[in-house]
Amino acid sequence: MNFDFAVKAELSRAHKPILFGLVVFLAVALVGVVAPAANASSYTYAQAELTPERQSRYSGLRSTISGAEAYTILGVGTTTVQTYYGYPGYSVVGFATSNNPSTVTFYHLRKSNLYGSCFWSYYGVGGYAKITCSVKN
Amino acid sequence: MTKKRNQIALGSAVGTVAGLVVLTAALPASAAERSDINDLVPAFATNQNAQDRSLESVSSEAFGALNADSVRWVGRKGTAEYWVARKGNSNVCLVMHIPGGMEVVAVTCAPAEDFYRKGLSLEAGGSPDEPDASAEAYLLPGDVDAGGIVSRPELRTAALAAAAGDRANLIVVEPGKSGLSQAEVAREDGSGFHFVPLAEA
Repeated sequence: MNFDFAVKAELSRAHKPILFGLVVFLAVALVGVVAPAANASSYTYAQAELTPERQSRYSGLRSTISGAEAYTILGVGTTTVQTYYGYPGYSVVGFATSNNPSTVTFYHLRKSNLYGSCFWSYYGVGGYAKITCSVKN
Repeated sequence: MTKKRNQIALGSAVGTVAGLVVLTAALPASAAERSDINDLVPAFATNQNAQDRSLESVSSEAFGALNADSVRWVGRKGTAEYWVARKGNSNVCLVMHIPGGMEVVAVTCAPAEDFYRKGLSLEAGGSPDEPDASAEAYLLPGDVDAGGIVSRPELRTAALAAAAGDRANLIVVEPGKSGLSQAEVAREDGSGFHFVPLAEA
């Protein structure tokens, strides 16, 4: 009997459950990571941008927008995020304001040719804070 | 043959358990954390029912971004309907839906420790210039005496206050017309909670 072959065959048999288990583990882990990420379809137009108080950051014209999100790294004041039509109406489609620190998000019916903007505010005392803002496609 | 089947079954079981263990660890909250958050928002301690999950039909995107099992309906008042939820490791969230128009669903989330210190404030809508299409609400930690905020004589919209009964410490006011002002109110442990309305934040 070829001893080496027998040992290898035995080892191979012993590893099968482990390998199969590894595959199942990876599949389960992948579902956990990929499923939430699948919802993320957004365009970030300010990524921790140092921004003066009450000065808006703008997304530029977007083909479709269905919501927006913003977060300011600051323990006081508020953060406001909005979506709106540009010239000539500049009418607001949706907005949300929340106290800092928090992440404020809103969703609305998907509309074409909109803009997004965001700003932070604190009594008008001025200063700078890092703001992150995005629009949802 | 039977041995091979056993091996596959064993491998499958080991893999599934290992995967679930890793996922559970990546998800929020130890039992202690959950218990603390349940104290801050009593609705989390109740069993989830169909009404709680109604947010899913209102906005599957908003619902999908939250911890689905944590979503609880807490009331309808004025122009909006409200839910509380958890998100990620330990975030507490307030959700509002303003039906009609642009069907705005707004969410604000903060880590539990920030929520404990400051609560959550949210004003949202189709336009800040249209009060009928917008809403303003405050979710306070469960140990804060909301009565100290809404029962003051200068508050003009007390009728909208304390919308959620014992499920959450929710105050709903008319945007821009509430008359709310900063207030120092009591917590159950005798310490103070500094309330700041959005108009003064």
